[in-house]
Order: sequence, then C-alpha cells, then structure tokens
Amino acid sequence: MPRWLFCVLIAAATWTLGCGGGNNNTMTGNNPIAGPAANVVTLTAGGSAQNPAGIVNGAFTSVTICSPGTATCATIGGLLVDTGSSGLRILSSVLPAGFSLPKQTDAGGNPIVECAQFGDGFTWGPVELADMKVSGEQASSLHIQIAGDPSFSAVPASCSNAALGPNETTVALLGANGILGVGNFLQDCGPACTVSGAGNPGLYFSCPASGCVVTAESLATQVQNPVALFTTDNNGVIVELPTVASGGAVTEAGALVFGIGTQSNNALGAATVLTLDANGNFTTMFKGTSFPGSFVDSGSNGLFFLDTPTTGLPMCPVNTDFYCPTSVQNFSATNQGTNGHTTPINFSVANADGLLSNSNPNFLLPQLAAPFPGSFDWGLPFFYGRNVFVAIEGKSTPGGTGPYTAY
Amino acid sequence: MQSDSVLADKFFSMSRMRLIGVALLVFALPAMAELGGSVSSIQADQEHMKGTRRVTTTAAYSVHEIQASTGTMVREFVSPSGTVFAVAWNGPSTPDLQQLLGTYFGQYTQAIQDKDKRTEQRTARGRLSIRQEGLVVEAGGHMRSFSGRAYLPQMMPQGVASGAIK
Repeated sequence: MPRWLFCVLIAAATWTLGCGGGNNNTMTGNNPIAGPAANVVTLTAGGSAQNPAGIVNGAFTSVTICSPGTATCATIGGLLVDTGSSGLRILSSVLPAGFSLPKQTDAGGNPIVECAQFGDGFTWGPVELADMKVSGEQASSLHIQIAGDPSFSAVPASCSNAALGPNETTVALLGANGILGVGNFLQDCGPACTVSGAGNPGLYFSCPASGCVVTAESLATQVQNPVALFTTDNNGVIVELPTVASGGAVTEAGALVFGIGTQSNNALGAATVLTLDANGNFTTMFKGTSFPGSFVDSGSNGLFFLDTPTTGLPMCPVNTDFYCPTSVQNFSATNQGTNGHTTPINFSVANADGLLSNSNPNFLLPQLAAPFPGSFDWGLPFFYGRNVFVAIEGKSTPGGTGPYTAY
Repeated sequence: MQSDSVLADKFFSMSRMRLIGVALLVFALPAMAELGGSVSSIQADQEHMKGTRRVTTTAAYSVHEIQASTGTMVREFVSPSGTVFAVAWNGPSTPDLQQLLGTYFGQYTQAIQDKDKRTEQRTARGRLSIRQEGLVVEAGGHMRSFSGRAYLPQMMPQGVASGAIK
C-alpha cells in the first residue's frame, strides 16, 4: 500500500503521531526511527548520491574528519555503515586534494600500514589519526585507515594470500567511498595483534623503505571503533531502517543512533539481548539444526545462509552466486545468544535473477539471498523494519555488558 | 585409510566417524599443492601453520584437522586414493590460501579478477562465491570470524556431497 495511506492508518489506530516529521520519532513498519538529535545521523539506504557505486542493500552516512586539534576538515559521504567491522576506513581517492592526516608510526618512525580483510576483499593502507565528528558526537585522535594510498602500493604476500577478493582501492571495488565500522569490538584486531610471533594474524605492518614486516601493534594504536571514543553515547549503536516492501524499494531514509540507553531516543525497550561469543557470533537454529558462527552484519548486502542441499533453494542460471527459487519461499529460524535468549525470525527468499535484472530499479531487495556454507550471515535485509542494537565489548548498557546484538 | 565393510554405502553418516588419534609430526616435507595434492602434502600445511593435527576417518574419506597458531581451524578432506579433494576453515582469520589451494591458487586469483570485470558491484559485498566446473570456493565472514571451503567437484568421492565439506 502507499506509504501515505499506511501512515494514516497507523495514526488512526494509535495515539502516536509522526508520519512525515514534526516529531521525534517516525512510525514506519513497527520500529520507531529517531528524528534529528545530537546522537543521531541520517542513514540513507539504497540508490542515492550516498551510494556512488550503486550497490544493492547498502546503508550509507557521512562523517567529518579533521587533522587532530585543528579546523582542517573534510566531510566524507558515501560511507557504508558496517556493524560487522570496527573502524573508519576511507579511500585515499575520495579525500580532497591536499588533505592529509598525521600517520601512525612505530618507535623507529616507520609508518604503520594495515591489511584489513573483509568477506569480499581487503583494504590496504596507512593508519592515520583524525578527529571524527558526526552529528553532535566527536572521537578525538581516532585511529583510522586510509585505503588505497598510492604511496603504499606494494601489498605483502601474506595479505593478498589470505584475501577473499581484490585489494579494494577504488569506489567500484569497495562498493563505497569508505566504511564506517561500528561493530561489537573496540579495535579491528584486538589482543591478537598486540603480540609478536606465530599467533599474530598479521594485520599490522611496519613499513620502512626496505619493505613491510608484520608488527605487534598496541590496542591504543590499532584502528578503533569510533563510537567507543565518543565522550558520551559510546557503548554501542542502533541501526534503524524502515520496513521495505517485499518487492523492494529504490531508497529509504533511516537513522544511525549512538549509544544504548544513554538518551531518551536509544532505550532497549522490548528488544531481546543476544550475547555473542568471542568472535562476535551467535547461533541460528534452522530446520532442527544449530548453526553457530552466525551473525548480523549491515555490511553484507543480502541474506547469506547455508547451501542448496540444506535449504532446497536452487542456484541461479544468470547470477550464479545467488539463490533462485521459482517462487518466493518462506522460512523460519531462531537466533540464540550465548546467554540462551532466543528470538524467532521469519524471512523470505525470492528469485535473485528477477531481483537483479536490469529492469528492476530497486536498490533495496529484502528477499535477496545467497549461500554461505555452515552458518547465517543476516545482512542488511534483516535490518529492514527492525531496530538492531550493537553493543560494544566491555561497555555497560541497561541490557548488560557488550558484546551483544539486540532487536 | 581403513577400508570398511560399509564402503559401498553411499550415504555419509556422522555416526561412522572414528577418531584415530592426534599426530604431532616434526619432519619437514617440501611444500606442494594442498587442494588436489596428496595426503603427504598436508604435513607441509601443518608446518606452515605451526599447528597441531587431528585425523578423523569415515567410510568415504578422512579429515585432517589442523589448528593454526592463530586459532583458525583448517580441515583437509582426503579421498580413499589419498587425494585432498576439499578444504574448509573457520576462525579469526582466513588461512594462507596460496598454501592451502596449492596449484589451484592461480585459478582462484583469476576468478576473482574476472568477477570484478563484470558489473558485480551491485551485488558484491560480504562474501565470496566462485563456482566453476573444476573449482568451487565459498567463503565470507566478518572481522575476527572468517569461514570458507574449497572443493574440486570432479574429485569428490562417490556418495560424498558438498554438504559434508565444512
């Protein structure tokens, strides 16, 4: 039904006003979307100037970065909001000409350069410092990554050998101007990268002229979750996106809210808290089987789960990486946190070749799905019409201490 | 590999897995192709990952599981003829795929490059899927938690389905 009619019906059925603004919350679907506030920044999902690469099922926002302690700043839009990673990463190519930030160096003055792996490739580039400002929040002297810096073009073999895709040096390859990682962890790597030796997964490199070598990097100098460095509203985020009609939509506006239970607009309410294991995962139960290693991830642009034999969903003839049932299939699953709390989920899968055809103008495709052997990656479609809380490790919230996912 | 009176049974059952022990092997072998390589090449993987190995045998294949020093688990699936027909992994980081995919690493790299030449950017975020006649690689995850598998469809032992590769 048209949105205006839906809004009229909701207004008539409840005491809540707010379809179309003029209020703090806007009712769409069943999740309130926060209005403008110091701890809120607009999320733009779908096709828009905030989606320069034109990817499907992406939500984007803007931040301002400044050389620390100065007024030399740049506002960067088109940042993919990613609850599956921690840290701000910006492509070198989208920085204004002449704009530079101080580099993180080691004790010998050599630049620290990072190889950050994602499910679709990696970003390679120096760690630099910035004051990051977004709405009324600020993270001072935040460690960020500048990706694809041409001054650091030589990628170490250990980085490319562990990659699930290309060095994402351009907007087309990355799918965005950058990534705003607002996930469950304080740093992207954490304690594993602070030690030398075989246990170090090798994300951080010291790069003298002679070549880059893996280095141990202290927690304080790793790429950090920006939210954790805010002076307030720093225990997590809420991703708020409206419901999207099953057939899809071109674009929707939502909100990225900072803090959990710190202001009047970020209470947990009736959300169920699912605590996470050390790797940031919970368990999804489906068709009588448990699949640990499951997670929600706004940076994944579909519902990725299991495989054809387990789901009965055939693969597509054209978009061969995706599921193509001949008609929409409806499923149920249950997510369970390490705390034992459970929530039921109903979801649907449509024919991806139909959804991705060039004649479909929609960028938001709730029923787009693909295999992910062994577990569930609840990507952005999971967030449509559902406020999802992401609590940061070790931070106290009214729902308990992070890390947890709640919705 | 043990032969078994139920070798003719076409369906894999978890109940047939028998743990035959933990091996800590210390001699070095030359590094060679892992996926598609011989079972002896798994030793090179273990050395490379500085890990410990556990072997589990079923009627249709054996699984050599290595825990790398980073905490990532790697499993190599060996056919009755001693060929590694599949690998799978999960843990905080993706293992060295040049080592693990061996002679198939070049095909893997080329497939990634070919993908990016197509207009896949509408669809590309969050996971990897390469499905070719001679090589299937499916992987993904998020920071601190990656998983994946790679297998050679033409070398899968009879009766073994892709669902067993994990």
